[in-house]
Amino acid sequence: MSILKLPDMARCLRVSRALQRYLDGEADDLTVARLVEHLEECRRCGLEAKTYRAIKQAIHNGAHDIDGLPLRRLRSFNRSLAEVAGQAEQG
Amino acid sequence: MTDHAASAGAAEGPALDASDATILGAQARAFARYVEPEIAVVYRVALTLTKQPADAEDLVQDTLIRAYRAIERFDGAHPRAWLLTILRNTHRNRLRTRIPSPLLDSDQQAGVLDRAGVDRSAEEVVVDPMFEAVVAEALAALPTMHRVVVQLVDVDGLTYAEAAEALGVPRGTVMSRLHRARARIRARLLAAGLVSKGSRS
Repeated sequence: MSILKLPDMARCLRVSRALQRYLDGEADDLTVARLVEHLEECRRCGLEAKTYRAIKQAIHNGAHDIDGLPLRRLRSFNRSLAEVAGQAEQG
Repeated sequence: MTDHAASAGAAEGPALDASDATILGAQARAFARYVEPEIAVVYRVALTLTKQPADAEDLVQDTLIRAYRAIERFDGAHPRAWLLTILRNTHRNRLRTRIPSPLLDSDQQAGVLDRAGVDRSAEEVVVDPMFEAVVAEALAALPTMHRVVVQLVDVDGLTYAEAAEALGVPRGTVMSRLHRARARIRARLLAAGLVSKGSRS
């Protein structure tokens, strides 16, 4: 590995450490600006960001399948509690 | 579940007069407004307490019943924090009267993916049904503590600070769990040939 590339590697490591915060909208403005600049010019880090962004999106898309059934049951249970009082009001 | 609902209904007691009924109706509407949006977060936190989905569901049901009984004393501010306090108190009460289940964490029971026929270019990341299926399976295979943090942030939209408060852990713990969880998911995608080997873990 060339010594000349070390500054780039150091930047990549810093980006790697801050990437999750950036993708989650938790990074400060200065960090965001530096990250955006680096992700545009570094193919490897850009791909890294793209991968994690896709993972986040997939989790968001598919998450309801994981806890879907118990959550549907709990929401139904919750509504049944409210209906008891609602029926009392009508009665 | 329905047993609890039935018992909630059976516990009405003597007939109510009009004013009592009106109050109950207002409580029901308040309950629906405050509680329903928080059920997913409450359930996920319950999973971190019980480790067992069935136990978590029972715990949340008990929590909802207690919340329902206490709704008239709730001022409407911070419903999530209010519900999570009830959840933790309910959990503590249950631990005092129950022997812990010896069953294994269900997160350890993940199946094995069929990775045959997956062929992607080294540079390409595609969010397709196979990608989502691998992510879903990898997510389900994570330790509960890690999976729940990912769900709180990516599904329920909590900030790191909100997730930390909900789980009763430091913000740094939320960040480290998120990082490890996503790295594991990415490793599964890499093994499945769905992401480039050029990207780091």
